[in-house]
Amino acid sequence: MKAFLRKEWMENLRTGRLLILGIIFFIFGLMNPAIAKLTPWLMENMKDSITDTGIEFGEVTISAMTSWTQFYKNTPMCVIVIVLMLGGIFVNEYQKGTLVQVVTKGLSRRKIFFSKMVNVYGLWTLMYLVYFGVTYGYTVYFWPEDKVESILFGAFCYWLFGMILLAFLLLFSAIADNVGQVLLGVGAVVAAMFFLNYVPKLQKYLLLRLTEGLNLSLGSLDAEDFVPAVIISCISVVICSIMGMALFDKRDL
Amino acid sequence: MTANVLEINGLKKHFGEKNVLQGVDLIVPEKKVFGFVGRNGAGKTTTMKIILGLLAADEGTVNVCGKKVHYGNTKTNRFIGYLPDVPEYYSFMTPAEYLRLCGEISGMDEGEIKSRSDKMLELVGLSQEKRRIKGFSRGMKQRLGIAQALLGRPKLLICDEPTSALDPMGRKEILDVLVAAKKETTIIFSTHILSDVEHICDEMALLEGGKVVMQGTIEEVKQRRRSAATELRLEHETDTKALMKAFAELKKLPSGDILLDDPAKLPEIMRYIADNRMDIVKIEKQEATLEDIFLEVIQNNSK
Repeated sequence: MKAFLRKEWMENLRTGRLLILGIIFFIFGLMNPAIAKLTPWLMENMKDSITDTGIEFGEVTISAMTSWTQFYKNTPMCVIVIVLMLGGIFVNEYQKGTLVQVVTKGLSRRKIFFSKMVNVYGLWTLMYLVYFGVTYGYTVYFWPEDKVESILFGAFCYWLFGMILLAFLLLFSAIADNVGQVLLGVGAVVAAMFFLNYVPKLQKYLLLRLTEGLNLSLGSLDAEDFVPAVIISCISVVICSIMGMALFDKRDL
Repeated sequence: MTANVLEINGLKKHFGEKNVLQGVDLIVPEKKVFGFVGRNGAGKTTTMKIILGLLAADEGTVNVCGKKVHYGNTKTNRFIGYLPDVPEYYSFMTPAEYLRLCGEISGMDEGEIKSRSDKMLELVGLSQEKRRIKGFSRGMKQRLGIAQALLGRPKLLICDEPTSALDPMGRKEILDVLVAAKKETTIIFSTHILSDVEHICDEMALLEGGKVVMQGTIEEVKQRRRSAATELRLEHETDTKALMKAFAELKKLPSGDILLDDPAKLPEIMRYIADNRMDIVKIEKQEATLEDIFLEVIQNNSK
């Protein structure tokens, strides 16, 4: 399995996947404090035109909270980017037939699935660390005195949200024949979550709760409000991974 | 005593309504180049995928080196090297890196991987190639395919139409490499190019209608042909016309020669020629080619 994992890593490096993701996540991470920092300047420039419309606004206060608010706004983009970039991680190999060679050499399908899973989860974790680290570093640099509550836990919840979507991506990859089917499957899961979120009683159990880290920092939600969704997500990741592995065992290559 | 590397008994497989394999029986002895012949869609690739455990059979058994093949993760693949019709690789790797990956997956040790990789790349003429596989031609990919397939010293090398997509030069290169590989392993060579089979195979089997309808050495298969054609030419055109009129089964070729497909009729025709004092210029028994046999079998099966 070590050999196949090394091949996955080599593919990340040589196809430019790692570089592209690294650049995108670094820029997204940088944008959060940068937009916060530039907000007064932007408002000042737009002041005259906005005042002409009759809208009045007072003093704009910029703090570390502004940067973290931006962080939560940009994280969905990061999730979309990683899903799009990794949507073909299995199906591209089915279409080319490269896995046939590997299987006929004696590598078990479970080891292949596990290696791909480690690569997918590892890439997301690494990129998310870059994204979070850049935002955290610059926010502390620009606003050293500001303290924002529960940033780590809120960020962990969003990371877990990414993990569950990637777990579904792996599950659909085990049965799909093309990237479109994989993305459609993941999209359907997200759509179902939004649909169920309209039922207030269900909200605290749904995976979408994991995206509400900002409310945690603002104090409108407590950490306990996230616990059911965290537990359900962890169980879902494990179930999706096991199901994906079982389905991959039986698919025609 | 010669052992059998591959034994297939009563293999059946259907896809939807279509019965692709309808009871395939096949025995492949050791150290032979075995031609597996059949028209497109005859079920050659399906049979090979079942041997490799990539497809589940509906019925029947497959044994490789005495061990039963199981669908999914079959242990028998350690005896097999596989060359698909259009081999695809990780294009971001160099040939040496790809062989290293194959060696590690197969469980070979570091030293053996290095020595075998060098030897195999030398055998297929890619030892100087340091480029990534991305820029390789089809022929180069096919040669690399043979290198990876032979890397682990397999007892059985399965080649699925390895020459069908190549130009004459590429075909010759692959056939030469397979002839060289024959010393080390048994080769199953699936193809519909019959001249390739005649060129390198010791034995062959013909798959038609989901069954093996003919199996044996190339000579045995040729001798089994039911109709051996005879060509003859008479001195005078008037005699030719008279003979054609007397025997309706005779055909006239564009060259002016007369073709007789049924050898049983030959004595009667010769008697007629002698009785009528016709002059024979040429009489020649046509040796059957594999192509003739292939076409004859297919025609008989589709009747």
